[in-house]
Parts: sequence; structure tokens; C-alpha cells
Amino acid sequence: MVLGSIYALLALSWVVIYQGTRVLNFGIGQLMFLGALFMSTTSGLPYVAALVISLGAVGVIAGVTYMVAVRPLTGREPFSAAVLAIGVSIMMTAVADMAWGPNLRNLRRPIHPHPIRLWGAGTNTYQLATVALTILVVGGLLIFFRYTALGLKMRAAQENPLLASQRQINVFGVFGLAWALSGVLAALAGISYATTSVVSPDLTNLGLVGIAPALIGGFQSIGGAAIGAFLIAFIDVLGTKYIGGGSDDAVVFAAVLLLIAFRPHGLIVRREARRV
Amino acid sequence: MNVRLARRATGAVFLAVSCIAAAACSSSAKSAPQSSGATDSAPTSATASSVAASGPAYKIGYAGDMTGSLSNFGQPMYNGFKTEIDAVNKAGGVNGHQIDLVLQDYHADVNAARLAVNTLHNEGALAMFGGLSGSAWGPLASLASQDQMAQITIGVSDSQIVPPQPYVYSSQLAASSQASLMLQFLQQKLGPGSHSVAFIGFSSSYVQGFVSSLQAQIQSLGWKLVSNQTIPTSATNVSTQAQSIVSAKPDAVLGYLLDPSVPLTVTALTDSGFSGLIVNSVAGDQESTFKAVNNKNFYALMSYVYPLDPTVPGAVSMIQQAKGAGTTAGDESIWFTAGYAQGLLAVAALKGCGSNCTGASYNQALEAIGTVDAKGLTGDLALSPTRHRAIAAGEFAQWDSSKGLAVPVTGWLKTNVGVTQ
Repeated sequence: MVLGSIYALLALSWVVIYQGTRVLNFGIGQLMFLGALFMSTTSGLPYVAALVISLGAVGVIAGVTYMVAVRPLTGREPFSAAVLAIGVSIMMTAVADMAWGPNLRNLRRPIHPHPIRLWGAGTNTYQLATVALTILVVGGLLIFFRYTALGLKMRAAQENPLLASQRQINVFGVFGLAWALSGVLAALAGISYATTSVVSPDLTNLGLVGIAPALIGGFQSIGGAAIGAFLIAFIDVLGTKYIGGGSDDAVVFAAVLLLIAFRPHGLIVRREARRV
Repeated sequence: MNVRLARRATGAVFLAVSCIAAAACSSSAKSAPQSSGATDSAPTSATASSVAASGPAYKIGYAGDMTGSLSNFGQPMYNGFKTEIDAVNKAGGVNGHQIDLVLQDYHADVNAARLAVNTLHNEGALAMFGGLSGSAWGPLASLASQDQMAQITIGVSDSQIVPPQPYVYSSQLAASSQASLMLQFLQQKLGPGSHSVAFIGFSSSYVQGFVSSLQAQIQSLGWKLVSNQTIPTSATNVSTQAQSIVSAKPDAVLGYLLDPSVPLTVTALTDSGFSGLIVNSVAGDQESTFKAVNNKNFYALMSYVYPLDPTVPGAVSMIQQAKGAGTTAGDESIWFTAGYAQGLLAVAALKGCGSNCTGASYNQALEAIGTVDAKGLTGDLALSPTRHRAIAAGEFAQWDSSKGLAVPVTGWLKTNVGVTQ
């Protein structure tokens, strides 16, 4: 469940951007890293204030990245934007390195991790809080995209940008907002993970992990990405238990390949995504 | 037209940001790493004017993990090395010669490492220091004697050092030495008798070598290895492995875990009900790791002291030198000290090499170093014709939350395993 939570936040980060702009943002790991770095820098502030500032800062960086770098590529092959995203992520790593230096950093825990047993397995209160937070985020996003004016505008812009712009929706603004939202989700995943570990550049590798649940759940569906995340976590644990600890990535991506062979669009597909 | 203008403007802004970033990189006051191929003429203009160098500069190569997956170890290590070289240059150099430090960034990649060796050899470097990655420097060690350019790295395997191979040196504990020291520590903590031990480590050939040595040494003690668990290099969840370990009921858990995996693993073990000793290797012994773990049952092996340890005079003077040289970036990392110790070896060999130093004579000088005064930064820093592993001692540390510092709980423990004296 805990592993699934981190995967879910990452998968949502991939899905929110892809849904909006059809871009695979390979810089999500860097956004995770930046979120954790901002959180370590704001350690003198009350926890919630530090969290809001850190998430906001990464959201702004992601939104500005779209406006400055990705938006000018509108109309070109999505491949160009994906390559550009890789370039931007390399630059982000270099800038983070210059700004924060190479020392590993710690994040404080918002709650003390009391060990508890749950269905025979050991976990702790912090991990359960992470799961609860993820469920809230998934629920919040579902409500946001279905019932709020801004969420509906975002969906409209995503489904038919031309029609949406004719209805006076600021399409580029909406897409920028999708990137910012994705940045916030990636930063939240980075902070959640780094709180149980240390803040190190290794976080950037984890960003790519989120693509697996997004592929399984379908890049078109928030609920599907969340289900995919918990499915991937389950496969990961099974692989570790029955094949060995070093094999879990291979097992996870083998499962992804198998699923894609039978359901190329993932488990949950919106009808319009299959139109030809 | 407006769209084209906007695109050009965006491109210009992007280019400008990149240029500013590049400029900031090269002029960073925090001594940011130089890009691949940079030549670092160490003395500043102010220093150079006060130093009378009588001959051409000695060229010393450095292959660093300045970018890539090991950069958070590689950058501090380079800055530690540079601190010593800069200090020596400032004091007039060695034998009347300045030291020209030539940096190559190989970003933990074996192909880039191969290129770095070629470049350093072509530039006439006497020897090459640095080198963290086992997957890079293991395969490339054979080039050292071929090029007559000694490689003093961290990444070579035990079998490349014992028996000593020409021109190949290590400045880190052997995997087998670490296993020996960890078992010595457990004997101290657990007392006499037979004990059961579990192991958890990341997936790599180097760690497999460690486990083989650990198994052999455990067997010779009459102890039992009751569980052997592997985790990925970038682990996100180790609860399955932790539960397997706890169900085997070991007296202690030994780890070969990288820093980011240590807190995850210790938490998973304690959450699963384990309350015994957890002892990690030198792979995960950073101050921030101890702080994140914050567990009185967790210990880690250290082959070098923390750079910011105020109780070690050698560390205090090292940091003062770093402040003078502007090379303090990464000074919270133990790898800073490891780099500085490599600098001590580099300078000691230059002293013995004389004015007409070549790659071959520098190699002889390395073997003739004997014991170097490490100023308390490590327990035993020495090289000889039969000993190509400079380090043969380690101490164990535990987090002291009242001091906010990881403090040594043993003196320097020595071992002959993995080292020929």
C-alpha cells in the first residue's frame, strides 16, 4: 500500500501532463528531487507552510517550463516536446546541483513513525498517513476534473483544444496549469519518499518508475493510474518474494509488456481515445 | 510573424538561461566541478606570484564522478583531493614544482572512464586518482600497467589488489576487510558464543563478493548466516525482505546498503519487530543517513572520519584549508575526507619521485611511500610493494541525538583480511 501510494502520486503526475498536452515529461524525477530540496531548505518554517511553499515552487517551475519551453513546440510532433523535456530535466539537475551542492539532506517527519502491525505485516503511522494522503489526492483530483469549473475547462481543452479556444477557454493557460499540477504531484511524491530516506539525486531515477502504472492504468485515466499503481506495487512485492529482491524492476516491466500486448491502451480507456 | 518572433525570443531566453547556468557553473564560489577535460592549474594568480616554482608542473590526473549517479559522492571526493593539492601548491609545491591537477569527469560510465584514461595518458599525467565506480575501474585496471600510469581508485575489486597488481592501488577498504571488521564489531557487541546473522544488500557484483567473503568468515567463526536478502540499488520498498529477515530470527543484521536505502531498511526492520543490532558497511555511512535513521541500534563502518568532526584536529585543519581554497562544497560528506586522503598519497609519492618524475618512477614512489601521517583522518594509511590497498582499518559510529552527530563508538579496528602487509 505504501509503495503503491508513491507510485500513484508519480503516475498521476505523468497522466495529468499527458492528458493535457500529450507530452511524456521525462523530467518528473527532477521535479520530485526539487520538491524534496525545497522542503529541506524551508525546514525553519512550520511544516505546513514549508510544504505549501515547496509544492508551490515546484508547481511554478513546472508551469513556467511549459510556457517557456514546451508551448512554442505546439503543433510539432510530441516527440520533440519529450526530447525537450529530457533536456530541461538535465538542466534542472545541474542547476539544483549548483544551488544546493552535493551534500545529502534530511527531511523532518510531520508525525512520529510509531510501528504498528497490520494484517500480520509491519508498518508505521507515517506510512499509513502517506496512504491516506494519496487516497485524498486521488479523490480530490477526480472531484476537481468532474465537478469544478476549472477542472471541466481543463478537460474540455484537453479533449478538443480548438473547440475549447472558440468557447473562450485559455487553452495554453489550462495546459500550463496541468504542468503545474503535475509538478505539485511529483514534488509531493518526492517529499513523501525522501522523508523516509534522504534527499539525494537518486530521487530522479524514481520518477521514471511512475510511467509503469500510468501505462497499465492507461494514460487517459486518473482512476486507472491509481489502480495501476497499486497493481504494480503488488506485482513488485510478489516478484521480490518469489523471485528475489534484485528482480522486481524486471518483473514489473515484464508485467507491463504483457499487459500492453493484450490491452495496448491500458486497463481503463476512455472511448474518445480509441477513435480513429 | 508574431509567432516566429515569439519563438525566437523564447529560444533566445532559453539560450541565455543555459549560458548563465554554464557561466555560474564555471565561476561558482562553491568550487563546482569542472566539466570534462578541464585543466586545473591549481595556484591562483595571487598564490603563483608568491611561489617560486623552479621546474615544470607535475601533472596529476583525476577521474571524478562529477556528474551522473555517483556525483553526490564524487564531487565531495574531488573537492577533498583538490583541497590538499591547492594547499601544497600554495605552500610552494613539491620539490620546487607546482602540481597541475587535470580533471576528467567520467560520470560512473565505463566508456567515459576509458576515454578519461586515454586523455590523461595523452596529457602526460603521472598517475590517476579518483575513480569510485566498481563497474568502471574493475575492467580498466589492466590499462594502468599498459600505460605506465598508476590508478589509485576506490572501485577496483579485491582480487586486483591481493596479490598486488602493478600500477593498481585502492584507497578504500576491501569488501573482505569490511566483512572482517563488521564481524569483529559484532563479536565485541554480542560477546562470545555462536551467533546468527542476517544480511541485506543492494544488487551488484561487488556486493556478491562481499557476501561470499562474509559467508566464509561466518563459517570459520562457527556462526550462521540465517538470511541473505537483496534489494534494488534504488529501493522503494524493502518490507518483504525485512519480514524474511525477522522470521529467520537473527541476532544481528549486517548491511551493504547505499545511503538512501539505509533509512528505508532500518525502518522496515524495526516496523517488522526487529530490535537487534543493524550494522552497515562504508556504502552508507553519511551523517545525514545516521540522522534520518536516528536509531540507537544502528551502527555503520567508517574508513574515514567525518570532515566536520570537531574532535579530530586533522579534520579541523582540512576544513580550514578547504575554506582557504574555496573547495568546501560537499564538506559534510565522508567522501571529502576520502578524497583528501588520496591527495595525501599523491603528494607523498611526488616527494619521493624527485624532479625527473615519470609514470614508472611515480609508481615506484607510490610503492615506497610506507606509512603516511593521516592526521587522524583514517586509522592506517600506507602503501608498499606488497601492499597496494592504502586502507586497512575502520571504526564504527552511532548517532548521538544529544550532540546531533554520529560519534565513533570504537577505536580504529585493524584487519589483515583483504590486505597484504
